[in-house]
Order: sequence, then structure tokens, then C-alpha cells
Amino acid sequence: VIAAAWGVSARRARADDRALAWVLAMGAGSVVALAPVLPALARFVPACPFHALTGVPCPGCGVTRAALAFFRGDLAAAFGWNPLAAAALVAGLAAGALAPVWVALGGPLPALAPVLPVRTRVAIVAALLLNWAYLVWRGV
Amino acid sequence: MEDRPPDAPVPPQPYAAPTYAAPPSPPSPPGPPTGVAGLPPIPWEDPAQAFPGNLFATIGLLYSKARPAYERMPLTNDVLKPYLFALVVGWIGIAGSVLWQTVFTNVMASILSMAGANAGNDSSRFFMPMLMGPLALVWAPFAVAAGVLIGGLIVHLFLLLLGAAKGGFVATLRVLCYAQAASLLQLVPFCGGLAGTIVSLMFAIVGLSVVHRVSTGRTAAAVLLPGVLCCALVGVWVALLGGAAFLSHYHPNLHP
Repeated sequence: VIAAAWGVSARRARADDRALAWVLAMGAGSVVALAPVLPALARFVPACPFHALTGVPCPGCGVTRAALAFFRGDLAAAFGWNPLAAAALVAGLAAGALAPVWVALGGPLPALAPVLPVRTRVAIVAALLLNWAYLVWRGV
Repeated sequence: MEDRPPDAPVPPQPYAAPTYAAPPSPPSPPGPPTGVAGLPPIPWEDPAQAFPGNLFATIGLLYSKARPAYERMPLTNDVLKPYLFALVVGWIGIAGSVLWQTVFTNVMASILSMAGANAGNDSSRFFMPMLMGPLALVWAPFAVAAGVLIGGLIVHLFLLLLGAAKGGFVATLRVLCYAQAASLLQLVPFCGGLAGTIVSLMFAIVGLSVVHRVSTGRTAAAVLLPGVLCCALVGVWVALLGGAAFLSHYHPNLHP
């Protein structure tokens, strides 16, 4: 009931969910495959213009450093650089790794309402703003 | 005419057509997927068309009639086919980009050496793209595979925030996969990257409005919202850098 009030419900996985599960797995696998070259690629990522102009980190600042720290195995540093990005990375990789098996077993899948309730949207925006406030406070 | 009370039972009609339940029709075999408006599927997902004809037909349809192309896109959960399309065209686009980058790097190095400029101090600046080029072709499919998915998640998040995600995540992902066709513009030198980005955004905005059945204004807001601020700031930043370069070139004494 609480989840439904937030616009989230659950349904059983169907056979036609397998394709999406495999796509999630391929996406997560691609991120892992790119991990060895990530330090080299990160050198080509331009500096954040928002940070350069204002001296204040933008909401996306620290994502690259969080990813680099994550793939070094330093989870605490990853969450320190950008908590939301690190959490998304962990959740995405876990979802990609588990999705094909989960769907094959017919486990419950989250289903979002076509139009989310206002409270859910406010919560999402609040999470983004809180994450940004943390980045500013930490001086990422 | 017979006089009968209204609540009296109706006598059987000897000449009336007999009524009986229709026999259950046998389940129809699964046909080819159809588009949003019941149209024939987009060529890439049309089982009657073979590779590479379906690839060229899909690209041509997207570039000539983007909205009808997305209306012909089936909204089934089978996202592997659109994902494969994104990988193919995304890889070709990156290959083109790498090709031009390598060519122009060589040309630039030649011009500098002919002009007698001392490029040796910063040789990595010129040779790094040449070294990274072949490597880029190897990791490009992984980058496209991860990028489309991450981009889809971010765009869908903003669609949810704006109440414009009526078709679900699969629809968003499908649209972004086909929007990768714009990366082929990277085969055009000089302006291909910028043109590809703009066309990709246009494909995404049109496609999302079709599959989620919302106005293009709302989908444009969802697609551009994450990027508008960043792009505006990047523009300001580039302008500032350009201004600083101009000043340092014509007024070198301004540097400490």
C-alpha cells in the first residue's frame, strides 16, 4: 500500500521481459569492460565548466572520480566523490548482473505508475538537490 | 394485434433466427509486430526484410520521416533489436569520427612541421589521437552499449519528473536506440559531431512524443533539461576561453 502511494508496484516477470534483462546485463557488462581503460578515457573528459566558472561543483561533479574510485575497489571514496552516482553505479551493476537470472526465475519486478505522484517527484528532486548540497559542502 | 400484458412471457418466435453462442475462434498465430498506429513495423524490425537492406531502409526512413518512422516502431518488450541497431550505427559513427580525427591530426602535424613549428614539445597532443584511434574502435561498442542505457535512464528519469513517461522505460530506450542513427553524421568532417548531436536530440524529442503520447514541448523539456544548463555553461566557458586566447594573442603582456 505504501509503495502504491508512491507510484511503485510489483508484478511477476514475464517471458518478454528477458530481452530488457539481457540489455541491462549487456550495459552493465560494457561498463565493467570499459573499467580498465577508464583512467585513460578520464584524461579526455573536460573539466566541468560550471565548476571552473563559479568555483561551485555542479550536480554531476565527481561522477568520473566516483567511477574511478569504484573500479579501484575504494567504495568509500566513490561514495565520497558523489553518493548518488556511486549508489546508481552499484545498483545498476547489481541489476545488470542479476536481471537475466531474476527474470528467468519469474521474480517480482518493480513497475512504475505511468504518471508518478507528486510526492515521488518531489522526493526525486529533493534527492538530487541533497546530493548537490553535499557536493558543495564537501567542495568536490 | 394480440393484446398481451407487458409482464407476460414472450412466446417463442417460430420464424426467428436461432441464437447460439459462436464457437470460440482458434488462437491466431503471432504475426509480425506492428507500430504504434497499427502500421507495418519499422524496417529494422520487419521480419520480411534482411540485413543490410533493413538497416539502410531504417536509416533512410528516420532521416526522411522521423515521426512516421517512430509511429511504425513496435512497442514490444523486445529491445534487443533496437539495441543492436544502436550498436551498429553508433560504432560506424565513432569509426568515422576516429577516421577524421586521425586524418586531421596527420594534416595538422604535417602543416606544423612544414611551418617549422616545434611540435616536439607536445607531440603526445598530436600522436595520442592516432594511438587512441584503433583502441577507440575496440571499446566503441561497449561505450555505445553503456551510453545508450545510461542516457535512457537519465532521460526517463526526467520524463517521469515531468509526468511524460506514459509508455514506460522500454519505449524510452527504444526511441534512444533509433536516435543513434544520428551518430552516422559523424562521418561528415568538421561539423558532423555537432550536427549529429542536434539531430539525435531531434530524433529523441520526436520519438518520445510519439511513444509516450505527449507534446513535443514536454519531451523537449525532458530531453534538454539535463543538458541545457550544461550546454549554456559550456558555451559561456568556450566564449571565455576564446576571449582569453584572443587577449593573450593580441595582448601577451596581460599574462603575468
